Amino acid sequence: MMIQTESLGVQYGSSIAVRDATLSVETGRITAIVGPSGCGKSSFLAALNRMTDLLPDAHVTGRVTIDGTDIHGESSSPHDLRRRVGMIFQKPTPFPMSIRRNIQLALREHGMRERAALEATTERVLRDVGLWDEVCDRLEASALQLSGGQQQRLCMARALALEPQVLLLDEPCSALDPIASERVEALIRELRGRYTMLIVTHNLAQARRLADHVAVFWVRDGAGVIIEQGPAARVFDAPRDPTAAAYLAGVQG
Amino acid sequence: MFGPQAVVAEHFRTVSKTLIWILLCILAPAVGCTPRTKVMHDHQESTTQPASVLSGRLTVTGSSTVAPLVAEIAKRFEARHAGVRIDVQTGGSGKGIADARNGVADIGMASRRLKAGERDLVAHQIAADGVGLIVHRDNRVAELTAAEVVDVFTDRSNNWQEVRGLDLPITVVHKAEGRATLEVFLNHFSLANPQVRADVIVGDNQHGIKTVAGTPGAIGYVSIGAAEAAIAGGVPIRLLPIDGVAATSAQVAAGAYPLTRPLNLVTAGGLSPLARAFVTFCQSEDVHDTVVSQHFVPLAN
Amino acid sequence: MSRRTARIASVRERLTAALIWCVAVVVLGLLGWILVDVIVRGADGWSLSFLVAEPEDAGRAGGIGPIIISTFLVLAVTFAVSVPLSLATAIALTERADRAALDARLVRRCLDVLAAVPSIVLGLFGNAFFCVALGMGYSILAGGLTLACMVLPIMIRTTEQALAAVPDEYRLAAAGLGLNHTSTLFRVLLPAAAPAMAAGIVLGIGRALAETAVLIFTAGYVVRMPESLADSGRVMSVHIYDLAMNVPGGSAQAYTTATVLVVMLLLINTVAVALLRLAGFRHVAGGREA
Repeated sequence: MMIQTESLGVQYGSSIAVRDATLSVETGRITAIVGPSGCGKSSFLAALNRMTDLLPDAHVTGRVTIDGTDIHGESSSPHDLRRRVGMIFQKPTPFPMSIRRNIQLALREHGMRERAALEATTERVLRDVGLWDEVCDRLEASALQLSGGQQQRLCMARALALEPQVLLLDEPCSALDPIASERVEALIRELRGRYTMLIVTHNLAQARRLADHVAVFWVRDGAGVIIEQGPAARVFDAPRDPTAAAYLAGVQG
Repeated sequence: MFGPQAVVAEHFRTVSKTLIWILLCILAPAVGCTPRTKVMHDHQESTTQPASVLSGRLTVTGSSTVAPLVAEIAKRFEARHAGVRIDVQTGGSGKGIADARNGVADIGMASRRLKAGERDLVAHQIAADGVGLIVHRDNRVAELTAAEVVDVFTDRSNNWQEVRGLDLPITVVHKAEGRATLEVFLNHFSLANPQVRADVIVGDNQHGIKTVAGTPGAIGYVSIGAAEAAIAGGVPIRLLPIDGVAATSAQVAAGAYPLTRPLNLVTAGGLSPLARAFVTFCQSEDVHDTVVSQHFVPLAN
Repeated sequence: MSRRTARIASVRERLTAALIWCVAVVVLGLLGWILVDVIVRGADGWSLSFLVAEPEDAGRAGGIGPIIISTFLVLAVTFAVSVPLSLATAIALTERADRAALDARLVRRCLDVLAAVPSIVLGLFGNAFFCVALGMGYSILAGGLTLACMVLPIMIRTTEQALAAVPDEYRLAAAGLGLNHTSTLFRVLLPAAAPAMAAGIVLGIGRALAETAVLIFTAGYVVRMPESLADSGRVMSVHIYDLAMNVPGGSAQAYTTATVLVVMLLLINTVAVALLRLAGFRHVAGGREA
């Protein structure tokens, strides 16, 4: 059992975004989190690598363990946690600097100083995301000159460079055109097995194509809750919760 | 190999550290140095060569009209006395008087007489500034009374015919606000600036002289020194007498010409030997050429 | 009917465009006129010796060598003090404190008030505080520090806006990579905000170079070549003012000095843009790269 949340709650001030979310995520598997807008999916994801610490008024209750260790425990710092639990955002967010620098910035920050190691890692992760052939002759170019899809893959390379165990993907394809979206989706598929991945998506077809497990979020009593979870095939084909069933069938939401 | 941007970012920390160091380096001498001793003169001035042993620093502040003249004189004084530094600062006659009184400056400068409440100070006149009315050389009017000048400048008279001249419209050439000659002119004729109906507004004396020289019906007022230099150079203008007194440097120097003001150095209490030497130098004939070149009138000794 | 509406709409479009162009041309024309006027009138006196020689005859003859040096020294003091201070304040306002917190709002309000203080008032303050109370006398140091007080509000505001304009995504992405607050600030946010901050500094330099009232009472009027920061030194704007207002026959030299000042401003601007280009910021003129 890689990631385990127990009665996880997220609230901003007095408004509750997520209530009582209990979920188990298996090592090396892809877990899709689906549900209508505003049902707490992203807040749930943000709580897993303590990005919620950065949001004003955000308050997290319950427990999250990764490999049995409480992420809020005294021995764990959020910086180390985020190195192990990488995050990809909906909008590609390369920094306004060179492609090389984008990848090496965080590596240096986490202690990698040796030139050869930095360069080797840069090449390895760019190859992993299929960007190496496209950019190997212009690593000094600004990352902002890349297309949206390339930028998103660079962001994934940047996260992979830190050798995380977990990748949190917050609607990684929704800001991209269909072709770029397809490339990123293919990349996620290739990475299956090497990383434990949680992907928030609006695209039910994508969730069905990618996911081993699915969790359906819904708003109940003004807060996001998990109304359905389990192996993808079971959830899509025989959902137990009637609301989830309607949503997955495309009737609602 | 890092990108140039990498280098920039890398340097951000170092840069801010460096800046703090620079700041400290700048401030350290300032904090370290005691308030500048104003005069560090030798007390051996009465020996055989008093001029050569003068040394120290003088601060002179005040009238911005007098400042260029005193700055030039100071430069000459410094050239003669290697150990002397004279810092001339401006800020207006009022500041000169206040600074001299409370000791912020060794000597003040004022482009006016001392007022009744300023009798605790001593004025040392170094030059005079005369303001003369000028018209075109071909203008036949010999003289204007004070009342006629006021009428002309307030537009009650619009034609030279009304003041014994030819049938020619009057072009009033007035100075821009803030000009020293403007104040002297307005004061003498008890005019307020808004009352004046000007046809042309000019900046400095040269501008005024050129305008009057190029306009047969014009009347303006400029520094007498500047006007005399222009007339000597063949510029077609003429200075009008005031109250029957000819507008010449000689009359200004003699104190007979009314439209004038003294340029004063102002001191309070006991003068240091250096300050006394400088004041004396400012009043000496050695600086008359400088006074003239600044378009002021040297005093007749 | 619809065709007529369309025609009216297109006429209105063109009218609006024409109006906007007219205004732009008028404004640019006015600026161009001032620039050309200054340069044409000042071009006569241009020579290398004017840039290095000492002024003579109250500035009517000679050059402005010591004045240029004093100007640069005053600017150096001003920016050595105001750049780190404004950077630190702006960081405190945007990154450390809650942006809407009471103390941050108070600081901003104070800065706005300070920015609105007439420069003559600051000049008198500088004279009373730095020159008299702190015993610096009329000096380049006092002038630079007073000028720093004057440019601080505008510099803090532009730096703050530059930092605030950095998209929040960068902050989140940096946090997502495990970067701590300090690294995020120095390695991501400041480089991203650098072009806009540099624009703020160039603006500040422009204001500082143009400033007369503050400096006449602090850096002073002395045209001797400054030997240290404790010496009084006349800056170019004060020289121009003095030549134009207090020295009969000084206007030609005033225009020449003004030309040097304008050329200097253009140079500083160009160099700043070029440096930023060199540092890898491409769209400096349009603000941040997007």
